Amino acid sequence: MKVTVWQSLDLALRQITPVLVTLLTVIVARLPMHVPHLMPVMPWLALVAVFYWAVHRPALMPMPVVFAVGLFHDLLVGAPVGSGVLVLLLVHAVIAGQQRFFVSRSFPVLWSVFAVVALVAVTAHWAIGVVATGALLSPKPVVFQVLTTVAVYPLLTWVFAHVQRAVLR
Amino acid sequence: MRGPLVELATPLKAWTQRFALVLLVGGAIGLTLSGRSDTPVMGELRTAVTDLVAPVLDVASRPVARTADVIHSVESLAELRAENAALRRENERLQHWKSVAHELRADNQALRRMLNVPSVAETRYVTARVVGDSGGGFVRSVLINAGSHDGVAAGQAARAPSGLVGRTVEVGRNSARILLITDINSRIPVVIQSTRVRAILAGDNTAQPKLTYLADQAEVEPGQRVVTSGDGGVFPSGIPIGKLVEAPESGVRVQPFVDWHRLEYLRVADHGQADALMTNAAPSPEAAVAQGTVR
Repeated sequence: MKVTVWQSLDLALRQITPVLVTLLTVIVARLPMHVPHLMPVMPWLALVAVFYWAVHRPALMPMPVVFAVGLFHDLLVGAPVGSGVLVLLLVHAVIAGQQRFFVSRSFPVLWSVFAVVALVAVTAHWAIGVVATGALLSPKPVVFQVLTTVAVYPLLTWVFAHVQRAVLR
Repeated sequence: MRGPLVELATPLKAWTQRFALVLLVGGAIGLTLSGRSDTPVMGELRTAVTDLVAPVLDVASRPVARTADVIHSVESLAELRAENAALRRENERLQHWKSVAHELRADNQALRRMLNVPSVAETRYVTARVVGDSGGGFVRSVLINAGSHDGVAAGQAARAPSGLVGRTVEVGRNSARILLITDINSRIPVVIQSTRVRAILAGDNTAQPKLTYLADQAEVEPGQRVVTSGDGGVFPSGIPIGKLVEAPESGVRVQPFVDWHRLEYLRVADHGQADALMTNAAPSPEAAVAQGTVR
């Protein structure tokens, strides 16, 4: 009896790992890095996380959870509430909807797909922000944020893959 | 028995999923639109989340800051001799200024007594560590690990040793958000130190905020120092902000003294009068913004 309780607890912990890891990326992106000019173009780590889990384990990252992650992101960043929610939700829906196509693809293909997703997502996020705040924000950080986000993709994916192998088997 | 049920369940599942997506996307759009009016509920939610995450950020940001410190000290090791000489020279100069300041203060106090000027409100400082930074193109703000529990309130000035950083906007129990002077929503009443010309320093998410409401005939020169004017009583006066720079197309801009990526400890100034002034229908944009966040 005792064993099954521990087993189900263990399983539950393993199952929520993708969500926890994604929340962690939101927090890590907030750490003051003490690097000149980095903060305005800080890579959007949560986007990589949502993309990764939508490709590899969409069942462990259902839509309401993506919504909650997006809300947490917006509230912590101080971005217009709802903008991150909307973008992450749509990215998840599009990728998880075509999951069968993506899951067996090689890394370069996925990276290219992610580059397109990042370009669209960051631009959309910026556009929603402009509408929501009613102020024309400079589009310059958008370009750089796309580049930094695409650049950080291999490293984060490597970390996520290790987490997935260690925890989810 | 199992066959038809499964057949029915598959489209049903797909349908529920689509319905959930529409519902959630609709919710997100609703949130975005309602966010424009910046309801107090959002402010409270945001404070709750920051309060929750601040301790985590506090712990996690320490090794990052330590690493940055080590890298910086290794870098400066090479210039140790030159730096030492420079500091020695600066120290001599400051020693001179210190004696001048002492004299001026005594002078000032004597003159104030003679003229019966009421004493300026005492400014109390709360020192806090920067534990979080907002990334992305939208906001320029930082999180600190002090809140209402430590005496921080909304609308107070936050400064680094070199100059003004911003003002507190959302204050939780053990955390607060500082809106930097470069943020698009930041408006600070300032004065050009040498000429006493008043203006409003308006951020626009670039590294150099703009000077607005500057009198037409006001003469400005690059290099002049800009400090807080203390107008509206929310901020103490005389906090250094930056130097005027020429910007041919976009008017007069200010290069802040603060080194943004070296922000580690901030001092939040409790000017003692902030509350009194903010409850009045003060016309200054600071008061209007701060009022929205005060409970």
